[in-house]
This record gives sequence, C-alpha cells and structure tokens, in this order.
Amino acid sequence: MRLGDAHDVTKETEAEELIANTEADVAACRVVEPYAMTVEKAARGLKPVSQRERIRARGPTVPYGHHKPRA
Amino acid sequence: MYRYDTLDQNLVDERARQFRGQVARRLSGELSEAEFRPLRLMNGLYLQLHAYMVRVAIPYGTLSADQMRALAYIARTWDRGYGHFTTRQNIQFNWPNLADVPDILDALAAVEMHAIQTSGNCIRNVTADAYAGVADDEVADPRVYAEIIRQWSSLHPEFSFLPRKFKVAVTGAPQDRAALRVHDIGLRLCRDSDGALGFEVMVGGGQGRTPMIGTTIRSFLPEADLLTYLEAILRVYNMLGRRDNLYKARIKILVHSLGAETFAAMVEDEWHQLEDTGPALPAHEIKRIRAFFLPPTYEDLEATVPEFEARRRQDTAFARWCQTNLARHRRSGYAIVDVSLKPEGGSPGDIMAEQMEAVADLAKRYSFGEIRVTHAQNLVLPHVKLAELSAVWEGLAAAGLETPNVGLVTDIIACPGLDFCNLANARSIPVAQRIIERFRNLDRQHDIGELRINISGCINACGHHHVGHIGILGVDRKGEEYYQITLGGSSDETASLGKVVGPSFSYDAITDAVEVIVTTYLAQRCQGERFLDTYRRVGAQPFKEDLYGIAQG
Ligand code: SF4
Repeated sequence: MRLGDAHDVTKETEAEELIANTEADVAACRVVEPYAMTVEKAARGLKPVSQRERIRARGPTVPYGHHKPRA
Repeated sequence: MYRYDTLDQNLVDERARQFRGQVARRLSGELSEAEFRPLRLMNGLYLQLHAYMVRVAIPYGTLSADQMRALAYIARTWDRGYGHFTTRQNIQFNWPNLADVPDILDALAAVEMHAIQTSGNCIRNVTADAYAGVADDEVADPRVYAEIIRQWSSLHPEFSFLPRKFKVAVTGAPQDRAALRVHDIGLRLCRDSDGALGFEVMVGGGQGRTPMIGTTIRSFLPEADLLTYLEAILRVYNMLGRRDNLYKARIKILVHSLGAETFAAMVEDEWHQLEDTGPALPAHEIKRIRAFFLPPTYEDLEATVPEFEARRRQDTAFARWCQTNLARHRRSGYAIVDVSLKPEGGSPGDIMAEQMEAVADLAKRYSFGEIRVTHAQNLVLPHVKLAELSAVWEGLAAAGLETPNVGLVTDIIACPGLDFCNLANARSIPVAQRIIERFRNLDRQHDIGELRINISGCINACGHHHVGHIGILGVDRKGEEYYQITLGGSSDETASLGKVVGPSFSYDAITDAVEVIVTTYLAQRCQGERFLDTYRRVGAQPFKEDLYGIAQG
C-alpha cells in the first residue's frame, strides 16, 4: 500500500469514517494501528505535511545496511 | 565471561518458547495489537516508524566473538544486514518481520542472549565501564557485580512493575566511563581505609525531560550489602515513586522532591529492616561469579615493542589511529583497542553483518575472544598485544572499521532520531553525518582535540545530549525540524548538564552553528585546554555572542 493509493478527504468526520473502515483489515492483521494524517496536494500527488509522515512514507533519509535512500 | 547455568538457560529458552506462542496468536488474529503490546515489550519488541524493532540486551556491554557472530547471522538472515549499537550498550535490529522474531530469540538463546527487560518499567540491562577488567585505573572488575545485579534483577517479582524504567550502571574505576551520574543508580567500586571493597552509591541521576545529576547517598557500602541496599532503594522508590504522571515517575523526581538526605534516610531505614530477610550476598557467591571474570592468561611481555614503535614512526595513518583508538591496558605489553563506529557517511553505532564477523574474527585471534560495547556506540577489543596492533589495524581497515577518531569531534553519539524512531521530533543521523563531513580533516580534528557532540531526536535523550560537551536536541517547530544546542555537558566523573545556549537552529543551519562554536572555542582556549575546560572557564557568553550577535547577550 502506497501513499498514492490513499483516499484524501477534507473533513474530520470523513477521516474517522476511513479509519472505521479499516476494522476488518485490522482484525485480519493486515494493518496495525491505522490513523489519519494531514496531507497536501503536490504536483505529483499527495504529500504528507509533517516530516515524520514523509519519512514514514518514503523510508529513512539516510543509507542503512545495503540500502540507499530514494532520491 | 559469565556462562549461563541451566537456570539461566531454561529461563531464556522458556521465554523464547512462550513468545513463539504469543506471536502465533497475534498473527492468527487471536490477540489484538493492544493485547499483544505488553507481551512483545516484555521481549524487547517495539513498533517503530517503519517496522518492528528488536532490542537485544548486551549485559554490561560484554560480548564474546561467538555472540557477535550470532548477531551478524541474525542481521543477515532476518534483518537488513546490519545492526545498531545504542548508548545503553544494547543492539537494535530495525527491520524484522514479526513472524521471524521467535527465530531471532531462539538464535539469541543459543548464544546465551535475550531481549528480556530491554523495555518496560523494570530494571533494565545493567551497563558498565567498557574497559572493565582491563583499565589500568581500576579498583576491581565491575562486571562481577553487574552480573550479580543482572541475576538479582531478572524477573524480580517485586520490581517488575516499577513506576518507570530503572537503569543501573557500575564502574570499578575512578575515571567514569559509564556515565554513573546520569543513571537511576550509579555504583562505583572503591576501597575503604582498611582496604575492604565496597561501593559509592549514587541515585537520582537521569536525562530525558528533567535531567539531573545523581547524588551520592552512601560513600561506602560494603560489597556484601550490595543487594540488600539496592533492594532498599528500589522499595522506597516502588512505594513512593509517582505513578500518576509519566513525566514525574523516575526516581530522580522522587529524590529531588524528598531531598537526597531524606531519601537516603528512608533507604537506610528500609535497609535495616531488610538486614535479616533481604537477599544476602555471601562471599562464596561473589567468588563464584568472580571466577567467570578472571583475567585471561596473559603473556609476560615487554612494555615496549620495537616493531610496533617502528610502524608508528613510519606509517602516519597507523600512528593517527594509535593516537586516538588505543587506551592503556593494565598489563604491560597489551593495549585496549577502541573500534570506532563513526565513519564518514555512516550512522553512529551502525555496523554491517560482515563487519561484525570481522570484529569477531579479530577478537578470536587477538583479544581472547572478547568484545565490548561502549556507551558512546563504539566497540572495544579489550586485550590486544602491542606486537599485534598492526595486524588488528589492518584487519579493521579491511572491514572499513579503522576510523581514527575516538574522542574527537567526529566521534558523535546520535540516537536513531526521526529516520527510525516513532517518538522523534527531528532527525539525528543526518545531522551527525553533516557534522562529521564538515570536520572530516583529521589534522583539524586533532587540533580541536577532545570534544563530544551528542545528538538526540527528542527530549527522551537517548543520544545523551544533556551530557554532550556540545549537545544537540531535535525539536519540532510547526512540523519543521529544529535543533536546540546545549553547551558544557559531561558524563564523566566531573558530570555536568549542558545549558541551552539560545534559540534553536534549522536543519540547514545546525552544522554552521556547531562550526561557530568550535571556532569560538579555538579562539578562546588557553594552552592545553579541552573544549570543556575552556567552556567551564569562559562560560556561555562568548559562544552566544558568536552564535547570535552581541544583542542576544
Ligand atoms: S531520543 Fe527520542 S528520537 Fe532519539 S531514539 Fe530516543 S525516543 Fe527516539
């Protein structure tokens, strides 16, 4: 699941609804602790507002093991 | 080194088996995350920003070559080919799949290791001087007592649900390489006027949101009373420590609010009540444990070795490494080798599986199979013959582990920060990398001399920023990463907490700010002064002026 697959909503209640809809996935252990995050519309799709969510979406910004961060 | 007896082994094996069942129930959906959480945390399994993370205990920072090899195997088989050594002398694996964690615990148990009590409100992995048993200023080997404390505190029923986590550090030397004064309890082995062995006991130190320097509540505790006295401290804390406020629950807050004298008196009272019923520590038990930590069979060697001296004269790179990465061994003809895990471009404390194996091989060949982990996120080969230093250096160089910077400005302590950690405000690792790059010139590093930069990605202070000579703390300013600088911290026997120098700096400005501080120090220093000496002499003012202009004052 990528950020590009995400639903974007504008209202708090809609976000709550989205979370509520994950119940089955949570129960089936496909998802752990879902939550809504704030995003903005960027040229290439959605972009999380906070640095934390950007890093969560794209992975660490530093090389680790044999991995290099995405440019 | 200590070897498990059947009791230790059964306990660890049983726990691994039990956790396998719990993971299976979680994966089948029988357990929810909420139900599973306390169970996984009891086995050092955290849920981080990207994945689960397993934190493995390395008791008092001592590892055998075989254990290091097992860690390499785990890194390669179930993680992404590397591990991360922390300031708590632990190792963390950042990317395991939940389904594989039981296999990881089995692999650990096979080499007498585990992840028990690396999380939760219990007595955590006991840390110690990384030079234990080999430092030339040592009174006695702290690992003997750290192991005794490990055994006493493992699954201690009374202290499994303390108000908050609890950290104990032990050293056997006057020079403090274990940061005693920023631990819940710090124990320093010493002798009384009759030559009897005992401990100076410090309590109430800690970092985090409310940093405090621990206070000595007993200047000499006879060694036989170690466990009853610890039990008394923990009892007073367990009874009176606050459970209503997470931020006020550590023992430091209790000691501070009662006053160290009152707290000490309560401990003494409790201790007297425990005299007959508390956990005794008979001499034969100390002797039994000490037998595991007897010095290896050293050879009688000359204090100077011509081949070693010659290479030092001829080979600048080798000489540079010797200058910073060796420490004096208590035996003539031997040296303590520090292996830096702070190369340019690397993440402080990270080590690849192949490098772990290289260190294990070198330890086996040249250091009686022993390795240590330091709280500064480096490794140590504790007993290397001077005559074999060349070979060890070459072996380290072949594995990319010969960075000659221990104690210098690029030997940075950094927590995982926002690149990995759920609690972070800001990144730590790239900040460390940028500073390392900025100061990459080795001549300049030597000119600057001993300087400790410690970086934490949030106020929890895993990167020990409060006790960095220069401390850097990641803060969140409206979703942007900012960094607050503290100056003048120290975790040695002259422990002090750094003071905030002024407003914080952006991610792009922090490296320049550090450079300004270093330049100010160089301009201000007197002959022979280290950064910390200069700071303590001149105070923060010149640094403030150079960082913010005179107006800031
Ligand atoms: S200091 Fe904060 S950001 Fe760094 S590892 Fe600890 S909790 Fe995470």
